Amino acid sequence: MSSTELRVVGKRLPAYGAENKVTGAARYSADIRLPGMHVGRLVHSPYAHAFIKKIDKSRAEALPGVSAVLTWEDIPQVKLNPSVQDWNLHDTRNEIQDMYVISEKARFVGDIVAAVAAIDSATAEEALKLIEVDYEVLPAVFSVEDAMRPGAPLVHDFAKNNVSLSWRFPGSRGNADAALAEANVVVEATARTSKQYTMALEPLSCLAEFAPTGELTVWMPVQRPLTFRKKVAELFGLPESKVNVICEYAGGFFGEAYWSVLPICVALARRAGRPVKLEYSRSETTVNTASREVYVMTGWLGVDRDGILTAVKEKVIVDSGAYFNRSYACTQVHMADFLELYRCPNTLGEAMAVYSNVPMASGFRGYGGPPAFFLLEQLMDMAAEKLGLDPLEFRLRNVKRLGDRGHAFPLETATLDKVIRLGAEKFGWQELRSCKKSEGPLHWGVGMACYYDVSGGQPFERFDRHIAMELNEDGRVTIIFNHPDGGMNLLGGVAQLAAEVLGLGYEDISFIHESTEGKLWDAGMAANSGLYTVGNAVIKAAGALKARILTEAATQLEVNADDLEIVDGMLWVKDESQPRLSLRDFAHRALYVVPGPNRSIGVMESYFPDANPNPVGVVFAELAVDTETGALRVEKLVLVHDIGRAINPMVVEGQLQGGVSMGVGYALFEDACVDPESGVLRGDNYNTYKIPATLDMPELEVVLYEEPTTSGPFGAKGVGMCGVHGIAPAIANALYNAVGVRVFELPMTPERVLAAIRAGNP
Amino acid sequence: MNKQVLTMHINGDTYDCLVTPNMTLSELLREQLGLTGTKESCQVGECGACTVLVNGRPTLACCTLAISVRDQDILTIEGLAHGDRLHPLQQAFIDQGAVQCGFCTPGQIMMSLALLHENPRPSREEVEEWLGGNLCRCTGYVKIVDAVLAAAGDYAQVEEAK
Repeated sequence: MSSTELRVVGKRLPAYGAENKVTGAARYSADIRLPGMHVGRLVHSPYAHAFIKKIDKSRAEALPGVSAVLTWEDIPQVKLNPSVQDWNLHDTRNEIQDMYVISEKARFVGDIVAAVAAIDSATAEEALKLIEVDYEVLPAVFSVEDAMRPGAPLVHDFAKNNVSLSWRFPGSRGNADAALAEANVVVEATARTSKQYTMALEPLSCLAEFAPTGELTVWMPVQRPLTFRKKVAELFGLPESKVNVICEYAGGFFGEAYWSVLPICVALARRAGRPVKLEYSRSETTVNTASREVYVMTGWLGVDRDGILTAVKEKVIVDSGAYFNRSYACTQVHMADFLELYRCPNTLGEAMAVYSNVPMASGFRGYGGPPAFFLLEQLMDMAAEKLGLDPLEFRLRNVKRLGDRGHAFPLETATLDKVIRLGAEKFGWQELRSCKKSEGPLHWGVGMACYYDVSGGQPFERFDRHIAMELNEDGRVTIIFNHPDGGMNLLGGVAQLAAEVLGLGYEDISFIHESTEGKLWDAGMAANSGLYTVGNAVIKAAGALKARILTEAATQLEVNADDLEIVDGMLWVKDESQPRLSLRDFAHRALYVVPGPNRSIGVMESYFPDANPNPVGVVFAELAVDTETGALRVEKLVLVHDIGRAINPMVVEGQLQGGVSMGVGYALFEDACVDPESGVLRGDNYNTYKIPATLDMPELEVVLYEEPTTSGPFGAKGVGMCGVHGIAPAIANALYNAVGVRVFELPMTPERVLAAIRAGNP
Repeated sequence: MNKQVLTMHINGDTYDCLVTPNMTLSELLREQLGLTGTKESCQVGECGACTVLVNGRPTLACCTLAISVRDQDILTIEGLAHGDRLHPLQQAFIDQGAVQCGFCTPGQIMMSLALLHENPRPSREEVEEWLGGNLCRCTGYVKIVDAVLAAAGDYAQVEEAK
């Protein structure tokens, strides 16, 4: 189908449900109140590493108005990992289960030690003070280097030297060490990344209620409601069908860090015998969720005399923090990103996951990608310089081509070279590179960086989708599945697809989507999987629904189904000058008028993704470095992203612009900074952890490149995580271009830049 | 703590509220009156999500004692639309794609409203300056600023940025 024929796909349409958000009508989980509801509060460990020798909660329990007090002794000591997804299409072999809901041992400052529920927040806070905890304080480790030193205290007893897992990237191929030994040019560098938090605007909260019949209902922000339903059902010995997880709106889906609030809130509600709402403060929302992993990584590139990559190798240590969580999956993605962006016959990745006594890390927008590209793309520039090549030309020589494998499947389209050329033209790469500016202490420079990503997790974590779709009596279509609205406009995107296939308008599609109750199973949202996998499922279901409608209508109208079509909600017989029937009249007749059994028009369809087109992109940056202060001022960013096809260009731009802002923060100032003495997370609120505001954003141009894929819905591929990837390396390369020094530590603060300038590295 | 009855004027309605002296305006709005369109995020006046207008001036509801704004005109996001007719700012936020998760949106719109009251035709830089304290983690701000300019009728500046 050519784009000129598309009526709804490709249009800049308003996000689904936006009216509810601009009027304040959208209800997020903390906005919901129930009669008789009590409020929860938590006791956190003040120590980074401590055994709870004794805990006395009797005085707290005796306080009038207190309905529940829970310690580790009240919680089943079942080891779990909230990020293990349990289904057989997910590679869970190496995800270590090491976490309790409340543990007898605190492993970071802020680890949960006890919980109370009380009639109001003042009473709950008073009760917290009455809980007497006798800690045995243990020595602690706050970095992977400290953690791996012989004799270092163990965060978990099973992990010798605090190393929980060592592994070789399964996709490694050829002989990278031999290729490096023979290469004409070899570059090597070591980099360290920072502890970045999602800092989503909505604080984490949960409201839990048990009905007298035993059904449990919880309201919380959650990206994977059905997998959380399974975990909480197992933990509390409930049938899954008696647990309903509700999330209509959530204040930002950037990662899978929501778990901790859920089991504690449910346990409080059960003990209290009444609904309990547990709202995390902003600090708790930071400390008791998860950051992006901190990586310490060394990379090598080998290149032959023609400027062709012969070896890409990486050794990486991932700082899991106190619990393993997604250390394996994120680091697998990290190595795939590092080793597979360019064409290279010899690759090797070796990884090690290490515990430390700091708040845990988990899957966060881009997984291990932003750290991988921060190092890889600086190495690419270093190699280009040694070869005497323009960094752009060097990359063009090494892009993957049709017939090459992406990270897992053969490329459906080979577009990185086209994307690079388009970006260079929009940015003015040749002109800006050839006329370097300086003015007093200010030196200008330009840099670039490429990235790639996925459209779902297949084949390692397959996002199968199952949905129901029905034609209502009013001629409109309802899609029934479980996908909360976390801001990416998945609902609007798939509404466009359904409307396109069915011959309806965008506004004719609506959803029942906010709860797990009565929905078919679904893997939830991660890995740019939304529009790609759910979209394909919706197209399949819409096609089936359309076939049902046309078959029924053919009977009603006594014509051949092949001669019928739906245009703007009307049924037409081909080549006639008037429509025969509106869908509304058709549905009404099918149910109420046509003799015989009434014909409800609905379908259920499943979609099993068996491909994974890789979105690719490039970022160009221009900045000014102040050599007296080390401050970087990013003047301009141009990002070109290959989206395959933009179902809603306005939404795709918004995803990328938002990702870029996270990338700017990651590059320049975001770091939660664990205090090296106490282990306290210093950056736990917006006044101690800065995220970009309007005035921090450089001039930004986002360009969408569209070359449809074969497997994507109307050719689309993923985008959600992609905006972050290329920003830090493009800025780092521009810094080198400006003043000839490299910074391999994130964020690139003025102190670090100034130190590098003074040291005159590299 | 001693409670007292305050007369509050919110979105044109008058309420008699029983509050303690330490109750914040956002607690009063959200927990007592059920006006949950005003959001709380940082709880320390850092993020702007709780912005409401008090006598037309942008005010952080999480850091304002309810008692200090008794008898004053308070406007929250719920008071902006007339029936099902959206305020031009609300419509512009939708049309320009300025809404993603929506959690910061009420605060962004209320702050933008205060700006447009003071300066009906702001420049892009002025909008960025005014919204400098309203954090958003989803959008990168480009489309939020576009929306404010569009609501001010200044489509030339919106197009220029594209």
